[in-house]
Amino acid sequence: MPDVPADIQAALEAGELSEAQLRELIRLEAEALGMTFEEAVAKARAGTLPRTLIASDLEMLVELLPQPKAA
Amino acid sequence: MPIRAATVHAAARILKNHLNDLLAQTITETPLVVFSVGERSGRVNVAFRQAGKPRQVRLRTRFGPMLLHLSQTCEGMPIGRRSYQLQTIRYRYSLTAEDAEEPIVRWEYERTPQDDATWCRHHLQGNLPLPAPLSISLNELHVPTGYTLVEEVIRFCIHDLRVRPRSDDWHRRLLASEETFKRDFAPPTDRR
Repeated sequence: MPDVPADIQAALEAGELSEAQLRELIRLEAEALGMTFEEAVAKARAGTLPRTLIASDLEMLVELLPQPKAA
Repeated sequence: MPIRAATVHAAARILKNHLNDLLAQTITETPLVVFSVGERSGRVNVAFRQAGKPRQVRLRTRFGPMLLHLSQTCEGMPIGRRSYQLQTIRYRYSLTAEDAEEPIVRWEYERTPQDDATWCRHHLQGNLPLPAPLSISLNELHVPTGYTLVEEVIRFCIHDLRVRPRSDDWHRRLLASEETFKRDFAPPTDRR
């Protein structure tokens, strides 16, 4: 997985991320899985990501995003 | 000690301190990282991390080294006008052999799975072959469990996996923490 930028690491230690930082963290994990942000979020919401540590964490992080509204 | 505070961020800090104190007295000094997102989200992530990346904690068990991961999503529920109480809406706890990609066993819970999900909300899965007549992996089933507490996973590690506890009164501390959860943290539906 690519290194997490220092500002995001600091925000994690402080206990609060912005939505932009959360999206960047998800993007980095998606990249580690060989996916785009959009692909990874779709798979996370469908429950079809692999059962590895990074995929599991990505799935949990996606839950923090604003939830899509029902059609 | 209720996980309740004036802001979701402050409640997350109480949760972090409670869990990390418990972990340090039982199985690991590695702390969980707990964070909320902005002011509107109301949701909190709990997980072991190192330099921002998810990590597993190496435990010495009677079966050799194993890797533990704990993660939760919590939501801040407004209590009156001036405080929020955290409630778990999802958890995933796993134990993985040291050189494996997938966990041997995973305890999982989702408060509100998708409408077309008919499996048990609280379940156990894992990369374990099951004997005949099943002859499938445990990953293909959703074995029902009760609501599994972090305390119970810690207890499993100490009692069954023979992880050496970090203090002599680990048992009392886990019991006290479980009681706190039942009394102050869990909504009635999650105590089933």
